[in-house]
Amino acid sequence: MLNINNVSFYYRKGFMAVDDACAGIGSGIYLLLGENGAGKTTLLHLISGLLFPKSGSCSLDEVDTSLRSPYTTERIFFVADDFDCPFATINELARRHGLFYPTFNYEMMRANLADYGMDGSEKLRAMSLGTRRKAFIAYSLALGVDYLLLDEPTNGMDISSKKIMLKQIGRCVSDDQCIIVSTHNVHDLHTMFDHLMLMRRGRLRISMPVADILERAAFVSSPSPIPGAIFPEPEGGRFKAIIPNEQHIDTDIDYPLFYSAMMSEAGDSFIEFLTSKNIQL
Amino acid sequence: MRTAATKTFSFSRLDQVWSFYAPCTTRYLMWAAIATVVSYLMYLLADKTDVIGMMSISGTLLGAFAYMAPTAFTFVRNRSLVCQLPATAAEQFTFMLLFSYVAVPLTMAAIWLSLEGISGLCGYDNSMFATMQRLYASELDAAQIGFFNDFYDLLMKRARWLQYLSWAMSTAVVMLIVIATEKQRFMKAVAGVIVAGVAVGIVSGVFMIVRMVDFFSSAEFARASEEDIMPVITNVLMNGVNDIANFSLCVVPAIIIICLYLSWRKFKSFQM
Repeated sequence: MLNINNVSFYYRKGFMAVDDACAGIGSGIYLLLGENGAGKTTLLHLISGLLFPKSGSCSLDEVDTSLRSPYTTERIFFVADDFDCPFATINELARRHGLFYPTFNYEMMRANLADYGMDGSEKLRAMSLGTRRKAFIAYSLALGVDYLLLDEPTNGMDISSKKIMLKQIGRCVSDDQCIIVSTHNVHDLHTMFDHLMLMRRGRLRISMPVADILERAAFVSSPSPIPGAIFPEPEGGRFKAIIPNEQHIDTDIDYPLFYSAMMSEAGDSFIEFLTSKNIQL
Repeated sequence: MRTAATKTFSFSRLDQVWSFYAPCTTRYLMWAAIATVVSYLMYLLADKTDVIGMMSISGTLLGAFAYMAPTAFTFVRNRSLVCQLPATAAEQFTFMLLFSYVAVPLTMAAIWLSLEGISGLCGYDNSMFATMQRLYASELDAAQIGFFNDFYDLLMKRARWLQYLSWAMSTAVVMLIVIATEKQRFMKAVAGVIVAGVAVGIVSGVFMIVRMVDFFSSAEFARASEEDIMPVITNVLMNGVNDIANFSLCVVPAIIIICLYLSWRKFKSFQM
């Protein structure tokens, strides 16, 4: 279990990049949402031990990740949005870097690369940013680490590649693994996430299972205004709204709507509504 | 079933670290080998053409490739991969030390000695000192040759360790810069070595000036006649060089230890 215990971090005093974040992260696919500069990347750096908290700690099975001991680095892998590979090809990366990971699955990597029409022997230098990103993600999914942190993975990817990547995430992740996908681009997202974390201005505002959100709130759409909505939003002549799910309606989470609600002035009351029923933040 | 990775030093992980860094270290060793051959050829050429400068260039080239060894690790521009490597900082740092302080100098020394052996088999006088002495003989007078011989004797025989320490210090400076800085690491390392060299030169220069000023204001200088002034000055210079050597033998190891300690601390706590 990965624990974020009252973690705070600042690059310069007076500007908190991450402010007193608390969360417990188990298995599943997590979505880390937040606007630009909300502190998502910093939080992922802190979790992976690339940054050291100014206060608090991140720990994996009670081992501090900032110690960067093989126990944690073997289990957590962070893929930055500007990930730079020192090797010529993905196959070379697998040969020289993959050997550190006992759970690395070469066949899985080959299959992931094949989804993008690659075999791993292509020169990374000759690839476009999007193609390189696809290759890295295909590789990192095959590492088989317990916690894979993907920072803005869809940046620079075309629509079909985004779909393939999300499919790969669903395919490669076992029940006891965790993937945290950080993004500010809510339109790329699908209903594959088990857990949602949202950051705003350095604060981890909410961290809860999607199922719990849907148990309390329903995401509906109607041609006419919806009465009793917690958060209404007109869109293209229709009305979308988040309403209390008192009748246990089975709906999917509408990420753009959820994000708008969280970023709006009603964000605090929405969080209060979601967390009021003894849900731990 | 996954086994728990230990945080104690592991030689099998050290082997994996070697594999991780193999592309850059192998490339560096290759360049160092080429530089050694070129340097040896320049040394031979200096002997044939009687150009002393060629010998200096040969020595500088050889030295530069030896102490710039840590720059091989600048091949990883974004260090997130290195920081996340499932090996302890001690294992990675040990590898960097072994490469910089053992692998590179040993490779270069082995190639140089092999070339000397080959040229020796071909009947060529491969003693560097003999070549240097012959080259300087054409430029210097007898008294200066005597000083040169004494000076060479001091440097190459009595204070040979000083040369090794000087190389080790430059390597430690380069190591610190490569680890502590993020951008333009190679250029900064070159600048760092130059600055360190100039600093050591200034300290030695000031030391010698103080020595000479002391001497010129001493009774010994006043007493000396015009004929025997040269041996007296040579003696003062030799004593000065000797003192610098002794001073360096104390200070340079301290600088090496400080640089390596700071490199280790920075390596362990490097943040993205």
